[in-house]
Amino acid sequence: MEDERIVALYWQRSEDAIAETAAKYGTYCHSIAFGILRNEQDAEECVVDTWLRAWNAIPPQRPNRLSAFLAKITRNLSLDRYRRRTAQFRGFGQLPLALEELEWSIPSPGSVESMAEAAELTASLERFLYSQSKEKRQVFLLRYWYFRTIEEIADQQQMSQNKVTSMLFRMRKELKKHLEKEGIGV
Amino acid sequence: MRSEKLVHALGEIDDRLILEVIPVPVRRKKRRWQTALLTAAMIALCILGGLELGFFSGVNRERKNGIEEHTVTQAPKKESASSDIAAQTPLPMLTLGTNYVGSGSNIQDSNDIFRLFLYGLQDVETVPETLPVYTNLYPENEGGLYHGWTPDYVQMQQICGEYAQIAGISGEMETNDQFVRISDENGASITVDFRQTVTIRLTQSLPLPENCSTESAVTVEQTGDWLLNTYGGELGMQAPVRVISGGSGMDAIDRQYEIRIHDAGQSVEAYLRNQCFDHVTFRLNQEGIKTIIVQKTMLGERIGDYPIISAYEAETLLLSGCGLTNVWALPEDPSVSLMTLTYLNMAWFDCYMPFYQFLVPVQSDTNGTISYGTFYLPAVDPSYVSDSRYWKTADGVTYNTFREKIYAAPDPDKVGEAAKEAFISYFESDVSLLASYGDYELSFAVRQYQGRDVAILTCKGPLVNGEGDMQTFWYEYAEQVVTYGASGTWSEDGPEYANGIRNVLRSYSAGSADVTYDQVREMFALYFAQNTAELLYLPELSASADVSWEQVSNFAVMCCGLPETFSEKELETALVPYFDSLDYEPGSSSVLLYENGQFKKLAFGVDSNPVFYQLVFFRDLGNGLYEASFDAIEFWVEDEMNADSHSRNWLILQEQYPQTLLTAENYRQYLLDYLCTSDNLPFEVCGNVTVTFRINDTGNPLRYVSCSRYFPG
Repeated sequence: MEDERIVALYWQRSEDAIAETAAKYGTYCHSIAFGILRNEQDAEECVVDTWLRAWNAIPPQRPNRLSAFLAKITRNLSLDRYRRRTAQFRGFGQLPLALEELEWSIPSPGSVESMAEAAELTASLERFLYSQSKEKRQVFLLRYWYFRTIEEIADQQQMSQNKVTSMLFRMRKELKKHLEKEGIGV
Repeated sequence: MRSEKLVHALGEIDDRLILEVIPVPVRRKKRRWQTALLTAAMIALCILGGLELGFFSGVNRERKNGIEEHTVTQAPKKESASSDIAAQTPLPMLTLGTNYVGSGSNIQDSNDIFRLFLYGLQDVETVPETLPVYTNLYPENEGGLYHGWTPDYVQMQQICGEYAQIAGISGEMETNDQFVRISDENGASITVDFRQTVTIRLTQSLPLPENCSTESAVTVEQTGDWLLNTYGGELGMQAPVRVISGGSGMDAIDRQYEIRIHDAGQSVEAYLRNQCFDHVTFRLNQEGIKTIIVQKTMLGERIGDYPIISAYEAETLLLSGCGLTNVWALPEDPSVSLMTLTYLNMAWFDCYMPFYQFLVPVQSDTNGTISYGTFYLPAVDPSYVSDSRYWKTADGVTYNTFREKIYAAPDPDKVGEAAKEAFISYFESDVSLLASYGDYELSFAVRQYQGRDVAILTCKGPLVNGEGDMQTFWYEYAEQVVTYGASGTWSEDGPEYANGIRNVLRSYSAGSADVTYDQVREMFALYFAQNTAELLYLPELSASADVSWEQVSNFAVMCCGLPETFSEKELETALVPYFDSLDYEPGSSSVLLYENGQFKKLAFGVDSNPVFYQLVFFRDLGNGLYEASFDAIEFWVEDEMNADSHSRNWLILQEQYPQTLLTAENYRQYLLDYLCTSDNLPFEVCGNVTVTFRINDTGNPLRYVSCSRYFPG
């Protein structure tokens, strides 16, 4: 079913909306959640929470790209769940590794004081990503948006793990320069 | 952690970037227990499907007895013509019932019609002259409420337990209004619904042989053959056959099919009956088969054998504009791409009668994708179906659908978004302000537009992003645009307002440009009386426009058993368990009804909030009608970390408004001021909280505020 119609089902408050969403994007959202949490049950629960969150959000929202809309919800829910879990049990999954890697990209100490600054940072990241080649962008996003392992990225992109690692390394350095140039202190 | 902020900022990047790369699912290592479970579940399926357990044997016998022993109402002779049959046999008139909300849209997209399948008798040229119609033993009303019967939870639990035991699925048994379920920690589950349909969800997909997949019609049929050959003989059927349905989607990843195995029976009648009510269904997608459904719907009284119209007659009726559907509309020049005869096994029908079902192309895009809408037409001779409102009207202009959408010819000049934009542009400076709460403005107008009466309800104001991650304010304009007699292609029918506004327009706006608020109010009374509140009577609580403390007290006395004088604390402690005792399910919402001296719960729509309270008061208008939503206050509280925070709302409200009068206004003001503008949360928060609330009051029935706020943990 087309996204437009699925969204229309949400607006009609038809339960079919969730069924259709699950049928179409269940695998995708599960993939995102599992990539972060690396736990089948947690991932399943996050996906179910995603449907609930989407049900609450639509209406009033009418997402243009349902897939991305769901993906963001799943990612956020998974990150939240991850944080709660790691409060008790640290050192699991790809997230800490990815975070550690990204520390290298941060130009100077500071803090995001407001949502406006966060939005500015997002915009800057977008500019950075759009300035990259498609291949590099994809690798970057697989690592830091979807939290895939180096091995998984290499498999998917048909590259050696070494190439993925060095590509990410260079991109992090470039990102740091880019953020400095744009005057963004994280 | 600074890098976390970077991760969060990255999370909000442009959708196009996110979708530029889709990760392949992470391969998980297969575990031995999953295979074992799969096998066990399949064995369970085979054993139970073979009717070797007492409960299913009983169900089956009972049902068969019901069919065989009930006197058929003077079955017409086969050779008789339909008109003769009608003259000779006093068959009772049939009704489809009145509850169609929630049927959802049924569209299948494909660039190849041959990949689409429909259940039912494929050779519609060979339909018998008569087919039986049975009463539905499990009718539901539009809110999903059991209508005149009670689910047999004991038997549901027994079935669920036995399936789970054999399949090796262990976990706590969950029982709610709709189903009984046992799930294990790995995601496998057994669900038994109120019709005792069993759904087995496997942890891991049942792998398919090499030539079986969703890739093409051929491979799907090969899958069907494989399932039939592998499991058909184990299902206790004398002559198992398979039938396929589904196939929507442009590639094999999207496409899903159902492969149903049932007993062919000795006649067309038995074939259809088994296919629709007594079968094992395998759900197939790209990954294989992960869901198996065992359905054995008990049929009620065999009302009679009714004459069936021919496929030609049915197609002619459909193409002339008759029929039922929940898709947008019949296209201007309709054609039928696929047609079968089947029983619709849907809970909201009063009886099970045969239907012709059609796939009709309703839309196509430049890529060659065609959207096929599913349309239904009762196969019973129309002279036996009394719900004439579902048929084309005498003037040949409109017909109603499941969702009572009114269709007419689309605007020849502007359709879709263009029409919507033109409409909004036309009215932008001409809507009357209905209400203003802080940054929120609600407006309502009914005007003539391009020869039609059109109502518009707009909501402008900051809405917090529902994801709860960014306090991004955005404006929603024309949130509720409702049309009457207009093309369904661009109308936005808010589930509650749309029908109501349509009603008032039907009553008042023919040839008139404006609708007064009083009229809208009266419309709401009519609407609720006709659709929801037939059995309601609550004079004690609805003597004035506002809900008074006295009324609340009455409520507490009547439903919570408090003495006539009580303290606020006693009220609080009485109300909370009362609401808790209503057995709210996550995913459902409720309306309280008062009937025959008792408060009752009526499931009313579906909501996903873990906590949802709605109080609706009804006033007897004295003419058999009831004014509903007289002063309705809804609380939605979603707080994943503090699941019982809902109870605190009552405490807070009492603390804030200890005076004797609780009005909609002070509730609203309280909620707006306190919950939405204060940083002091009214309850203890351990994490992220979204508070959503909505207030309706028929003092001005279109006042509506819906607002979410993200409270950082």
